[in-house]
Amino acid sequence: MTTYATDYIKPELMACCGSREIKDNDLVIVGTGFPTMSANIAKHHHAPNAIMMQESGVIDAQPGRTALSVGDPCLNPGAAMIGGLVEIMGMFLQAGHVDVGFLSGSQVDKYGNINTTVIGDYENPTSRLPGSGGANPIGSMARKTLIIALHDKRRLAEKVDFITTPGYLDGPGAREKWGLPANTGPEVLITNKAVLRFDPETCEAYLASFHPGHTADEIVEATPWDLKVAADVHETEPPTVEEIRIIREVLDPARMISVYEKKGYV
Amino acid sequence: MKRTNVIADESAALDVITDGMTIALGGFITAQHATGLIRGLARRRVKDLTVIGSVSSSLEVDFLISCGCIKKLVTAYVGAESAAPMGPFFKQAAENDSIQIWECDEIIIMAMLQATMAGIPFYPVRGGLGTDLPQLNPDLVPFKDPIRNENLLAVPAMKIDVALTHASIADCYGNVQYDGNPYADEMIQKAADQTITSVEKIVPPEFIRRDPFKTVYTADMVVRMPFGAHPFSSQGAYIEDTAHLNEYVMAAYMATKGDDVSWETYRKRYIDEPEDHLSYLEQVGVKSLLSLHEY
Repeated sequence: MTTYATDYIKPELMACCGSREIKDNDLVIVGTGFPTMSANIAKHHHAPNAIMMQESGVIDAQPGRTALSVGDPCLNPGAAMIGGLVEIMGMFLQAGHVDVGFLSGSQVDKYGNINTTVIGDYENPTSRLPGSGGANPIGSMARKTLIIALHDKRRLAEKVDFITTPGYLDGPGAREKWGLPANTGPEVLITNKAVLRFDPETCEAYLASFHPGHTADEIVEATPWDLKVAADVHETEPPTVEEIRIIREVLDPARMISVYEKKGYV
Repeated sequence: MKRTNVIADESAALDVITDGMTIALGGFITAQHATGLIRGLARRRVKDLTVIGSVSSSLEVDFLISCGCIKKLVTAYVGAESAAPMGPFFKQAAENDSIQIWECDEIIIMAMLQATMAGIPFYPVRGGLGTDLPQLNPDLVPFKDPIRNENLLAVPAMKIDVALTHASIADCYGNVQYDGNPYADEMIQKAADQTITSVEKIVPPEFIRRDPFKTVYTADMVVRMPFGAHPFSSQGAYIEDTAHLNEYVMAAYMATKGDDVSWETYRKRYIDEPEDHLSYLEQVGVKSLLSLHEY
């Protein structure tokens, strides 16, 4: 019988939600932070043959510490292969070989479009964001995209101010119309309150599960669009004792993940 | 043909870059930027540069902005991830519209470099389709490909005067090797009219020839610059100086909030007053520099 942990923090729960989306043998492209944590939990837990790639060109890294950025050389020693950026982004991704991409969004809308460029009008911005980095081709071409975001009416939106990385754009058929590969797109939106999935008919994010301590009503209220609720909406499965052991003993003894609590992931 | 020695001193290398040029910067986020050379450009207040931050840049672009060197910036990202989600001066300049930004993704810069190095007008990508990027940059052109009738985005080539890269070693003929990932440096070298590379160490040609598979390109000018990527990492030599990155970010952030004191101190101490790279290293200090080891 599965035993669940009782003393976990929200970022650990969210990392486990990400991990559960990764299957054995998946080719996963990750950045730093949540994505790496989730993919590593998956590798130690249920997907030992999943392979992680960083956009910098590193394949199947086994770093001895938490990387500062995707360009951190600690990712190099022990990796299976190191190519260049153009191998990962230009070839693996564009040719459609990547199963799972994992992105975080400063602003995410109901179709899973991600804005990391600017809040407000581009020419007259309220706030400048960091830019695309390598997020766009990941969201454009990975088979499944997992998205992490904060759940409030500022971070989630009916429509993003700027589409940096395409989700389902303006709804059903839009990705195909623009020429993005078939059967790709956002799979799940993991927030600090809930797990949202995307309706295959409408392409809209709906509430699939609420995290322990939250309610469906509260989440509908905190979402800036008319959030549909799954008929079988339920509580998100908490982290298991084993998942928490992997996080704290194997992956992150220094508890770096707790910085996400300061960033609002509570 | 008699080959020439391409080893140059720092000031001769910096003399190559003049106001209004287009330069491409190598490295990737917190790794392997030619920071020593770029700091020299900031110190000289070279003006009106078009800078391609290849393919995601970091705080070296941020201090170039602060020193008024950049007119137009082609970049996918300016930041240091965990150390700084984004460059403070970049954020300020974007919000004030004080520099032109050619907005793009890493894959779009790579396509730009692929077009440029092949000498063709554009290179096609799938990335960027459906987004707001083509509206901002009218020279990113969605088109139907004539072979399979697929939608693609045409990314224009761009003339690059000089590439600035940092590598592990080179010989006196400019044959450059990396103890690790060259990121997109090979592409920018091939796309640029000329390349200036700072290296941790200059080695005899025989040393390069022991392992020619490791040679990534031949630079037009090589500058010996130990710790030349500092405060970023240089693979096989040192890791990022996170304390220094934090010092920079705090000072820059405060400056963008109207409190210039720490930034003035930082800029004087690390950018303006050191007359060359070695004087900069003296300011950083032996103890800090030699603590930047992985194991």
